[in-house]
Amino acid sequence: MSISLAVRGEASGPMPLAWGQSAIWMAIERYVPYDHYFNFARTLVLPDRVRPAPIPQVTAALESVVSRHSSLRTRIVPGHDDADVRQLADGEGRLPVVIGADADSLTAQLTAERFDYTAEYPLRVGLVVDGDGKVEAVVLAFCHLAADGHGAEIVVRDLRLALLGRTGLEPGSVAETVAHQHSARGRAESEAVVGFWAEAYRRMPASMFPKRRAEPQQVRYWVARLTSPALELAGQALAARHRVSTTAVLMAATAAVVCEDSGQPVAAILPIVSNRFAPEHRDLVTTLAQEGLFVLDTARAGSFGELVGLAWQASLKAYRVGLCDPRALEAALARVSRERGETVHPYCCFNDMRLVEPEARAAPAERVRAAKPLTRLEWAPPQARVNCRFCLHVTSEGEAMVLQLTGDTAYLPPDRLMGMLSTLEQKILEAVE
Amino acid sequence: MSDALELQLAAMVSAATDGEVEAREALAETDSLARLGVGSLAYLRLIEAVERRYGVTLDLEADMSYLDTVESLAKWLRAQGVES
Repeated sequence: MSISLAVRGEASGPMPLAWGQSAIWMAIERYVPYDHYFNFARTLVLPDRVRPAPIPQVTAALESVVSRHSSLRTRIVPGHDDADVRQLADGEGRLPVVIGADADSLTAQLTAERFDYTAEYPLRVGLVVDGDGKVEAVVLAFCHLAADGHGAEIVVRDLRLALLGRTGLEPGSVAETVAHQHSARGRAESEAVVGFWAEAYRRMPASMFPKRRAEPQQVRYWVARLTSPALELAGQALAARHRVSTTAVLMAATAAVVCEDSGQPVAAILPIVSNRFAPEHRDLVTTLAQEGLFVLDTARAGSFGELVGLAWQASLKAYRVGLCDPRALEAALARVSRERGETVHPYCCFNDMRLVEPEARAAPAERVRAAKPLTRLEWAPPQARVNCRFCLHVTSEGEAMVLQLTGDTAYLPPDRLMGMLSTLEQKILEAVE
Repeated sequence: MSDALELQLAAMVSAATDGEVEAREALAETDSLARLGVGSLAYLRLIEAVERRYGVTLDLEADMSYLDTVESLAKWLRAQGVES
């Protein structure tokens, strides 16, 4: 059975990419042909009230969501040159729908191949149907040009509401965001942010991982994963004690671990910033997330507690410099590297992918200690290409915090990579005592 | 007594937390808004909103303790020449 969605909505463009889209486009270009790396999926199990639902009811809800959010029916205009990529939102078209028996295999199937950015819509849809041909769940596979994690969450929320016969908040407009970013005011905002980065790049260490230490492993980028209920408790306890977010606690510990590894006191880390602080960006389905710049002199802190306070301040600054034209930024940073006669790049990134910041709760040290034996440290499948030397991803799994560290084995051989995750956990756990 | 600027800021704190913190709680807090659960996301929204509304740039380089309470933020803004 072959079915498809009717794509309808207001056409817009051709227009340039928004800054966040440009940033992900530049990353995609670096990863080709491994750019399926950026695909990601979300599964919505239908709300109880409508599950299982007839296929037409679900496709109608999907059509209303695709109509609301122009980014889901937007393609790259063919024949672009690298510096001037344009996008066009369709007013009508068809979007194919795949039928399957379970969400996991549909997810694997829908994310396996790279998107054809000029020919294909940036959303792939799968329906999980039961034996009677009714829909239990919807799998949405996103091209990262259409949405970041927050954007995808809004799509899932709106699909859920549409299935229940309701409508979500009025979404923002990608076309308005693009227009603002390319206006004189938008460019001035970008220039201020780019200036901040360039100034910091003139002073900071050339890299957090300057020393090549070993021959890389055959599949070069290894992925270590720590799953720790104790870390979740300890992170919350320290956040409550120091009146900061758990993100600031994690960034303090990351800075400490990275500085110990390199033997230099100043940490420069690129956190992924959601860039959803302004009201017009909050419910916008597009990719807004970009890198910010977190710089922390760990030598200024006498204790881990003090380091957490400094990290909080540094993180607020870092999260304020995530929104700028990434091509202008790249050019400015390349100039700094030429001035310094060496490549300046932290090669150290941090992505707190939790959509909701957990409430800071004071957990007693004995609860943290009791949870420690539950910590799991293991290897996840390695990656062929990652444009970084140290990428830390924070997620959660039930009661546990999950830290996933992807490292370049030429700079961080496997033992060292895993050791860093253990040390990171240990620093936070010990600070609770 | 809270003045008009403080009332505006307290409402902005409440909006930045999606109503989790009520304006009157924000006004009454004399130690640290973080104690009420104003986290980094809410602070960033608040900073954005304050800058837009009053046409100022908040200084995040120096001592940031002026962000601790509604009263301290109002005092800092008045020193920048901001009226309600």
